[in-house]
Amino acid sequence: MIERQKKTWIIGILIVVALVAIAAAGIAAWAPRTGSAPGTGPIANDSVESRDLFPDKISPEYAQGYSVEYHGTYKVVQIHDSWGRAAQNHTYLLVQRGEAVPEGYPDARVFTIPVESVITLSSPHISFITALNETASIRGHKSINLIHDEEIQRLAREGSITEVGTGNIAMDSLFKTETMIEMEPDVVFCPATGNAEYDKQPKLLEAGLNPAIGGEWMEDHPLGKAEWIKYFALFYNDEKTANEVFGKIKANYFAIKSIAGNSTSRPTLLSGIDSQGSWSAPAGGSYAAVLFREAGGNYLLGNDTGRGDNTLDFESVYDRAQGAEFWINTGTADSIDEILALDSRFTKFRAFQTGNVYHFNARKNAFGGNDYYQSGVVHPDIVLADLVKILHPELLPDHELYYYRHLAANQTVRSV
Amino acid sequence: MNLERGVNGDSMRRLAFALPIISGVLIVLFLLDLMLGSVNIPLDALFSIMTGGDVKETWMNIFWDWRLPKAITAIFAGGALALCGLLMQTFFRNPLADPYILGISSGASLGVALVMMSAGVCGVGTIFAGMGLLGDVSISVSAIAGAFAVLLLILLISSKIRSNITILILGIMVSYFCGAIVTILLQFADEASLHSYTFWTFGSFSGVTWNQLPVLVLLLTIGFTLSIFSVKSLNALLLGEQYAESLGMNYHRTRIIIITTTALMAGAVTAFCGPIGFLGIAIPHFCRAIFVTADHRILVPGCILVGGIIALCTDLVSHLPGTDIVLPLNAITALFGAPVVIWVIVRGTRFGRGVTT
Repeated sequence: MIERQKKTWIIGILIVVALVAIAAAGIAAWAPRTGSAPGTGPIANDSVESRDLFPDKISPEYAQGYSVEYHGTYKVVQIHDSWGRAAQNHTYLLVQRGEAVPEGYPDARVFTIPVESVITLSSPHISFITALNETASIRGHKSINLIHDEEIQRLAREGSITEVGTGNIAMDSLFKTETMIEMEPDVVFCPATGNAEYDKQPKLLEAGLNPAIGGEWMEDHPLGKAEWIKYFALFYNDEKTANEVFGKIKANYFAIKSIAGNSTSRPTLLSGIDSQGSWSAPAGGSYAAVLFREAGGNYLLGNDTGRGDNTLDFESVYDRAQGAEFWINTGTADSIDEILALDSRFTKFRAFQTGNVYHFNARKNAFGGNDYYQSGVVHPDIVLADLVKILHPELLPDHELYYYRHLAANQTVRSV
Repeated sequence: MNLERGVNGDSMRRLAFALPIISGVLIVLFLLDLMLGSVNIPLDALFSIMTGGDVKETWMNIFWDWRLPKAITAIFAGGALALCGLLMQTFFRNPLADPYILGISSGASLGVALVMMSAGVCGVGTIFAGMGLLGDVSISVSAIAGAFAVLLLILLISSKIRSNITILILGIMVSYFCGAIVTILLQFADEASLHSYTFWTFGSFSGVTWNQLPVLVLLLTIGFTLSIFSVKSLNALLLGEQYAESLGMNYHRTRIIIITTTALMAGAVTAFCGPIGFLGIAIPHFCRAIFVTADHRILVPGCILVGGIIALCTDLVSHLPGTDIVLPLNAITALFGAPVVIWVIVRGTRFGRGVTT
């Protein structure tokens, strides 16, 4: 008796489940048809390739991390992984709003452009977007305190920009993922990372957010970093503005470089700082080393072609650079007192004795947010001008140091 | 074990044979550490540096200001860590005890993290900045403050609580507590501070300057002396608490001395060299194996010398002579240390006599 009752129940449940499934399938099949009906009609009749919705185009000259192809109603953006991992070479399809998603790109992530709301997880991304006059699209950022712009701080206070991070390390658990989902951004710009553990993309994808890589920090050429403005412009259809802004930066950069080239002297310099016997110095092929060279300096620790930072032995640095005329970039130390607190033996360097120590912390706020890492990425021309001013003050008499600061004793960081 | 009547004759003979060899090795390694480095200084130049001859100024400075303090630090720090490990292994009668088991290095880490990362977004940072402490306090001072805060706490607790196991657990709890605060600070730190904190945790003998060296050497010498005077009590402790007391030992006083000595040495080394791991746990086992004894009259001086030797070796390897690369010291010590610990665990207590639990 009980057995039969159970069977009846099971059959009943199965029927209900089957009905729900059929209903769901029906809704699913019906819903997109109504959703896309107004858009698809005219496109089907039109030849897609004959129309060009993007008259202004960009193509990167210095940046290695991305490339783009234009196809009338959509753009195909290739992300080239900076660490050479084939699995991290992404294809993004940027499709104009209202146009059909093209076939033939099975692995591509699709973004509808122009984007209207974005979340940024890295501070230079804010500067790129601001330079494109698209500040209003920024809905969220990782850590507002570290941002230098008064404008962004004001928008955050007014509530139009929400803080979506709770710390500064790039780890998934430290993002307010729920807040981000609720904001429904068109794209989340996240920094490229060489460490799969810190890669936020899989988690963001899972959460239904659209992550797009910003790999500017891995570019070695200063103009390559700045040129990522063109990449951000792709998402806004702001190619025209990007070409103008970057064109100016590039022209200015080369003008300053040629001024520096006029100088006959090439002052020697060292860079980086020691921490317990390990000296971190920019490698010869790094961003900082390129800038030192272009500013007419002779960087004594940059004989290699490596990227990023080298960890050198203190005594080797001392042997090579004891007599250097300048010490530029002092790592974690923000003042002469902090340098001395790290290791009193730094006084043995000639640059220290002659007081020629400079660091890029003129625009560092009370929370440690440094504008050199933010707007400095977009403005390598100003960074270069600072360096020329330091190494060859007579060449740029009217330029005042912007990102850099002359370190002297008993100075504290200016809070902004 | 006839520890009370005198040292086992065999071990004594072994020591008489081994002591000159070990001291010789120590001196040779000390000289090697002075000779080899990233910058290739030829032998004749080294000779004239030591005799006050005329050499390039940078070489003079490299030798006197970097290599010499580094080599002296390595000898003292290595010896102290090995000795701390021995004291803790005997005290807790646990072969896996190390110098940091009382939470000393965690306290030091917390001190360093507070100073290095107080510029972070959290409230603590702004308090420190407001007090004008930011940046001007050197890493070693903050580490000493942290280590000794934990030492005081442990001493206070151990004067009230009798059980060693309770102290052990309290030490571990203190470690977790400090670790938790460090993790929170790390989360709010900017990348530059994160970077330098990571370097500090790698450990190094190179960070000690001539101004700091006398402090380190003085603290460690006090530790060595106290340990040498405690060998009898340490031997008695091997027999267990009750036996030790029945032999007339003042258990309470011995305990305070051992804890203070360990904390003093471990705290000083951590403050100046960072949390150097593995030497402290591995060398006591290594010494028991080579001297085949559990007698502290042999093990205490043995650990000091062998600790110095191994520390000099690891320093030499970590600086990869001839290149300008430096490897993290802690990676090298673990390369030496891990196989020893595995060996002791696999071989049981045959060579770990005296620390059986």
